[in-house]
Amino acid sequence: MLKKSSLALLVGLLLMLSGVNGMSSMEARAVAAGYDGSVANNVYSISRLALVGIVGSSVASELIQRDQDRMILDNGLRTSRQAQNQTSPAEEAPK
Amino acid sequence: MSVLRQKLSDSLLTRNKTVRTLIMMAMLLFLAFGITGLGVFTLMYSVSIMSAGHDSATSHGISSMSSSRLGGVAIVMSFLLLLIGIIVLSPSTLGAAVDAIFLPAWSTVFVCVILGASEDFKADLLSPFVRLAAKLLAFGIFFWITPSVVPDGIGVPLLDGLFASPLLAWAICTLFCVGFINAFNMADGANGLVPGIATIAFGILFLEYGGPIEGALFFVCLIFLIFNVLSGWFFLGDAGSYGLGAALVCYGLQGVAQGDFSAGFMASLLSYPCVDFLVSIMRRARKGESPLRPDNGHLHNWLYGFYAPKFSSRVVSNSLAGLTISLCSSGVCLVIYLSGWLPIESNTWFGVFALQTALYLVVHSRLKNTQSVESPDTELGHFDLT
Repeated sequence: MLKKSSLALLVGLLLMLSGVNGMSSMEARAVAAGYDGSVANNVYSISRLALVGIVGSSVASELIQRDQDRMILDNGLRTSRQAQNQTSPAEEAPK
Repeated sequence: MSVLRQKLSDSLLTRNKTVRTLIMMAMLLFLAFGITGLGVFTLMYSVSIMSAGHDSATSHGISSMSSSRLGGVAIVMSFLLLLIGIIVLSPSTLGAAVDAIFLPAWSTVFVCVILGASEDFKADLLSPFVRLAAKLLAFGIFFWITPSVVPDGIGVPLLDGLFASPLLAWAICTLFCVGFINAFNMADGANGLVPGIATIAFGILFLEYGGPIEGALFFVCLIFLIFNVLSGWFFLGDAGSYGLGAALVCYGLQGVAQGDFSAGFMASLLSYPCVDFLVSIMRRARKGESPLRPDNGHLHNWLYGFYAPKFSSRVVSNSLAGLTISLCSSGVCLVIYLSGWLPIESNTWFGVFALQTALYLVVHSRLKNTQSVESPDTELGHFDLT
């Protein structure tokens, strides 16, 4: 019984992590594309449906669309929309 | 010999039925959530077959099969793994992580999960008094260090006067939260009831805030709901009801304090646990019994008694009772929210809550009167006030 549950746990973990990895690469593609809608609107592509399913795909699109207003990238940069609303240090510098 | 053959045949039939149910659930979850959903399902299945937290077939009133009460533990594991995956693999930082309330709120939820899990793994490991004191302490500290979560008022003139005093507001919020968690635990008596309410609530919170945490909670609760309703052998347990209750009450109070939605909206969304808790206490007090004594007079017990003669399967009756209540209470709130009939900041939601309360009382009374037996013949779930 322990072996059966351990195997199921391992398979579950691998599937979950591959799903999250796919979601993260989707988000990375959306950031790279400057949130032009190419990723968020592509709800029913086959690869995406296999990764997160019908409900999950809609949830992922919603997350990507909402994230563009408040995402903080790991390299310290802000997303394009936030950047537009901020004045860059170069512009603020005295001439 | 014939007895042995019959036993073997019964065992094979049960096993075939279980395999069919598992395949059906896996297919449904793959369609809805892809391989990620299949991963969460496999993880939940692995937890459900663990020997720890297992109840034998004879220990459950309606379940004719051996069952696990580690559903809450499975939800917490899946949620944490999803969150860690998002944090490690995503190119961004969680917006909520930079929020000052994030750490205290989730630490409080975690304390409640641990208290519940201790009960799930070993019954009566902690006495009811210790669990109650621990919850009061956890919420007391939480509201003390994050006073911004305590609302200035809830839109009820008489109570708003009490909220004017910070110390009184702190005490009210602490008592309310502990009471609500116990109400959530007490309502966890039928398949799909509390998981259904939690799924609807996190779905609305996700639509409102759109954050990955709410998204992950909605995702995990929905998968558990499908597992719970279809299988009938995997229950939420104390870890689940305490944890989900604590998370919802933290979101609710924070949302009311920030003006994101009204207290009436949260009351309407979580009407069933609140109304059932108060009615149960009053019923027991009127009979001269201890308010902590478990009984079979809950609405979900009566509704199960209504469905049971109509279906041969106990799981179907149990799941129908739970789903009917969650859809008729929180589901109504979801429909009104999605259709935009009422803004969520409106205090008119208190009117919806009043109608839900009236509906509860009418249906409870009708079912009680129409069922000839003194009380439903089976215990749907466990009862625990602490």
